[in-house]
Amino acid sequence: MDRISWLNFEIDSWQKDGIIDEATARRLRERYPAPAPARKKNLLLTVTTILGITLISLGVISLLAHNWENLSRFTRAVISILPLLAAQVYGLRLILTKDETTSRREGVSVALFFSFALAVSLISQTYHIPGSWQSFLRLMILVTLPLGFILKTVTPPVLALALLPFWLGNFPRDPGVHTLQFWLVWLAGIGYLVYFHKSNRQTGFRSLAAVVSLVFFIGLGMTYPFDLPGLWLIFLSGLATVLILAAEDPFHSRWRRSLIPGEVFGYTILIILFQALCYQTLWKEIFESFQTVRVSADQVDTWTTAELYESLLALGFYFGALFLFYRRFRETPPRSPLLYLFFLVLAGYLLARLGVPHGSFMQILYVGGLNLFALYTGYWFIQDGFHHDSPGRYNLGLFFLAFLVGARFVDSNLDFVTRAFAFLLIGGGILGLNIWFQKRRAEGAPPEKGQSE
Amino acid sequence: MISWLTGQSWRLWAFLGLALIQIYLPIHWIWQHESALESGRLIHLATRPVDPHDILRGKYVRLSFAAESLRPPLPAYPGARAGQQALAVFTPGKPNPAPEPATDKTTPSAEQPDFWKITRLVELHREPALPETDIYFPVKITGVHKGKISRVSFPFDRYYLREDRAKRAEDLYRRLSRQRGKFAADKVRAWVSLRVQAGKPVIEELYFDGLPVPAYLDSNPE
Repeated sequence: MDRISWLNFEIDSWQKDGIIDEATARRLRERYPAPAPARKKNLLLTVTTILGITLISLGVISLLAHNWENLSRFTRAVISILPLLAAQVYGLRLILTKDETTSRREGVSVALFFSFALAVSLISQTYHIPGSWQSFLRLMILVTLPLGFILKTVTPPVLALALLPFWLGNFPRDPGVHTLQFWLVWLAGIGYLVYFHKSNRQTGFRSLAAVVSLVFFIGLGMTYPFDLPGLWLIFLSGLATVLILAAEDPFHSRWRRSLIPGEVFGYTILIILFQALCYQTLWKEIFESFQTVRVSADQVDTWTTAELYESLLALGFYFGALFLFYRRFRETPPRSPLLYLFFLVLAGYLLARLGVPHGSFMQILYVGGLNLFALYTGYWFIQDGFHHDSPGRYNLGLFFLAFLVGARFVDSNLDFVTRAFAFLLIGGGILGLNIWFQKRRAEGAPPEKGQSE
Repeated sequence: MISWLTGQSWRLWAFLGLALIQIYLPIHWIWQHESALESGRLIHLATRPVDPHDILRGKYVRLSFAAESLRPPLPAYPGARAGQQALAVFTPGKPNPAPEPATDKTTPSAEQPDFWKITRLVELHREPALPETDIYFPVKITGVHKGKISRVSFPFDRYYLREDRAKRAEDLYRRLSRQRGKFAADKVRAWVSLRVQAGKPVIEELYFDGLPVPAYLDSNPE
């Protein structure tokens, strides 16, 4: 039973018991009207409209294709653009009559998408115009994306964004300038997401957000070159910090719910990155790769597009993180130690970049410091969990510490008995603390007060 | 800003703008190709066999041309390199004036047109521009060796036809385009007629033994 149904039920019983009169009951019902059960119907109507238009289009295409060769060249060309013209006329009518029906707008968007694709393909066939898959995809993306803004629909941007990775996939060896085009179009998708949100529209928002996020991660995997040593550290720490701080930024409070997945993703990246950074092996590789690249860098006086892109992306996220951190710091300094990690990452990167040899005092001091900071981070999560009565948070701290310590035992050449004792100790500690904390809660002991994060 | 965005007037103009772009592109292609087919100069190019499949536009006959291989290689203009676009100037004539006996026993059943060949390659954006009397269109240089251009690729390579006939046409194309040994113009059985207007080539028809492909397929049932 939803809240309104519950309220209506209560109003009936209040009226029956004489607590309120009929007029009051009516006013209350008017104040809290039952939600119109239109959303599901709208969704169903939208889906069936889109499906219907797609099937009709396919049917018409099949009919035409059967007799295609018997028609003259010019007739074929004219027929090729008729569906597009029809869809355009209908779209214009929707705008002029200010028809806001979602199903009609989505339907006409789909019709415009497919009819344009049909026109391009059929005219290419009729005149034997050569063309590539990638140029066709690019044209479709560029012509489809604005339809979302214009007709206030979700399907065209979703289709355009979904085509993006396929388009970029045509340039696997040298994404080059296409990478820039990819991200520009993706940014247009983000722009549309913002616009969509500002327009207070809900239907399709999640689908759009999901596609935007998915395309982001696919695009990142396809385009981030990992060419320049160590720069990925800057990139990842910057990206993760941006995702977390963007979600916590008061400016985006309306977006809070939508940004939670990004925040979780950001914390996950930082925790994994932090654990990895505590190892000398990783730093050895980074420091040594700098020595290798320094030799070859002297011979190369120009940067490749991939290197330029890699640097710009890493710096972009890093400065984004700095900006959001500054905004946050002015209000209340962040308490989570993880949000300071990106400063430490930059310090390590600079040490390697400046040519500090691996194994030198400075380098060992740095990795040692990172390990101490990681220990403090684990402790902080445990303490914070207790303060906020949050088992999730203190368990995160426990696991963070357990992994930090436990991984050393897997990594080092220790005998099995020592390892077994170490793991028993860590596991026992985690279990014991949890049991103790649950018992404490059951006894009703008030949790310690702490500052809210 | 947002109030402007949520208004209707910009939406109407934006829609009209986008609709104009969407309709302009196909109409422009139609006009451009119809114009070239109507008043472009006619040339013929002998074909060579290949076999592809396009996932987007259904089946088609992929074309390759004897004139894309330059025998003998032509002098390269300064700065010419593989991958670059250049203007190819054509003149009528047999690509290989010294035919050798072909191993294909069948002989062409129709009168052979003059097959055109490239006689000169110049920069794409050259000054002064080529005279209007010249027949030329852009090509991509694919082979440069020791200051000579040995190979180019034409900006068209597809002949579309109905899907149920494409397979047979492809097989015929491969068979009729094949010649063993050196290229012999008088043994050519598959060729393309092309209309060229101001540097824009448009495929007019693919011929098998002097007949347009649809007519050839009709008159030679399986």
